[in-house]
Amino acid sequence: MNRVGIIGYGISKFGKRTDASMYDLIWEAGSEAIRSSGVDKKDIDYMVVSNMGMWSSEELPAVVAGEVLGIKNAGLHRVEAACASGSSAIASAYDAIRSERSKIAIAVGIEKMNEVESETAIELIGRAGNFLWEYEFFGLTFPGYYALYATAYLNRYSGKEEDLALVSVKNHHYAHLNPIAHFGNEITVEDVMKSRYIASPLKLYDSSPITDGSAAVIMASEDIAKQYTDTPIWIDSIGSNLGTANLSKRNDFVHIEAAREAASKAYRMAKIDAEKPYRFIDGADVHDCFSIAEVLAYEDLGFAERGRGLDMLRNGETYIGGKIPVNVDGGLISKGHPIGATGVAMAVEASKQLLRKAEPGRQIDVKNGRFLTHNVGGTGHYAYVTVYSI
Amino acid sequence: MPGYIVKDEKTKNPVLLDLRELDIKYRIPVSRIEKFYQALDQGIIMGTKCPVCGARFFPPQAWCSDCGYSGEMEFYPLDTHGHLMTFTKIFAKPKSFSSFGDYTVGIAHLDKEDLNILAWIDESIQKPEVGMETVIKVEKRKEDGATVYFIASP
Ligand SMILES: [Zn+2]
Repeated sequence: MNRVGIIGYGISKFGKRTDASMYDLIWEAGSEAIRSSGVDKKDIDYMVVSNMGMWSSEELPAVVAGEVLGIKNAGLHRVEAACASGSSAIASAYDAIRSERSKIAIAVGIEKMNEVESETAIELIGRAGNFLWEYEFFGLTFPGYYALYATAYLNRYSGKEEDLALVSVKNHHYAHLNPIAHFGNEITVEDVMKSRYIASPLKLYDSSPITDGSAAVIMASEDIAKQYTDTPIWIDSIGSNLGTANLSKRNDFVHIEAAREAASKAYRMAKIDAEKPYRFIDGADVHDCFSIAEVLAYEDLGFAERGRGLDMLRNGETYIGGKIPVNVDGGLISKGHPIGATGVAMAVEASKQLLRKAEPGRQIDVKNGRFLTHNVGGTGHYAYVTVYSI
Repeated sequence: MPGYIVKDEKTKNPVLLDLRELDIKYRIPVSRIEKFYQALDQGIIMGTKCPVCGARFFPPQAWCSDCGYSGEMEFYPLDTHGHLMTFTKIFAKPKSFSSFGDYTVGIAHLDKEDLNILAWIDESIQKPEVGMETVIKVEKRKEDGATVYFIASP
């Protein structure tokens, strides 16, 4: 079988990067990815760039990225799957290599969100979903959409806002050990509870920030990958699924169906027991754009039974040493969520963890040699679950 | 320094302040769901029904995504009785809603139709609760004068 492996990766510092343009961010991540892979950029024959855009001035970020990195003889396109754009870029490069259209591909995720003020960023991301029926008259925001899930979930399973706060406490803890993270401070449940409401019951510290950042990976077919490294990070499976544009068309607000479907496809392809997936993987990066989203992810991925996601947090089961470590890079909440870069940043984190190159205090125990990423676009509009192995 | 190079307030990093400004207002065609807006103006909420397979839709649509029928869909007034599935109060508002006060958005399930509607919760509901009984009412919104449907108390 013609496997596909990651042979190099790079990631920029995440944050409100007023010091760096979109070009600079692409260079930080892309040049590091190319250098670490050892490939000559002339041999890169396929390039895919994930970006949501709107808040940044460049309309064609893919061609900008090609020029910035000095890539000349590659096929090129841009992909959008909202917050899951990065995972769709990985999927696109994977497909190009599997179909033998490409031998060496680069996937670059880039988002420069802070070129506009935050009110405009809130406006632009709030429009993502169904503009005419859920935004035009009702001004739903991205936190607002997830807050609808949070209200329903806490009501159904008798959870408290203090329980959700545990997501942010854990993820800030690991972010403070991750030098590229947007936030470097540890926080307490009290800090979360004292922060102001953004969309009730979600508060400022339940939310991912508006982040600038970029991430890139070099991917190659098995025969080529082995010429460059003894330890490629293999992509074992990619499961993806769509969800309805209108949130009102979902049957309930206590799970994300698209993510559950994506997980089931990814588990089937990677031959992972969907009943007890945590026995087959050593860690996971899940899409915690808001605290509630991490709880939904535990259940949609089968880490916890339905309605028991909060128990995992209360028992510390998703810290290193627990049942399955989750978001030990700080997650979107604290590492930051540069929309189009997030999925590629997850691939970078999977690579670092499996190569045992994570910073002290946040390295997982690699036993099975497998790492999972869960990347949700919009509010369950797109979902990608990817299994990486070494 | 040219005038368009300014210092970022927090970090003091130099940034180029764009001289071009973009003001976008979309013109969204609604001719195939015009009946919905005519009825809305009379205080009635219409859904659409497929004459072939019976599938019901809200938001209204002029084709059937279930069976593929693309002839005339039947517009009919929705029975709006139902219950509140979830809600949130929006505090951090988008730019184009910045002149509004904090508003509460909910999703109501229409029990007889088996359809959901997302809308603002109006003042008749002071303390929204999941599962509470609701109807949908058409009102002229104070803030912008727009004719809009709300989730309301029966
Ligand atoms: Zn039909």
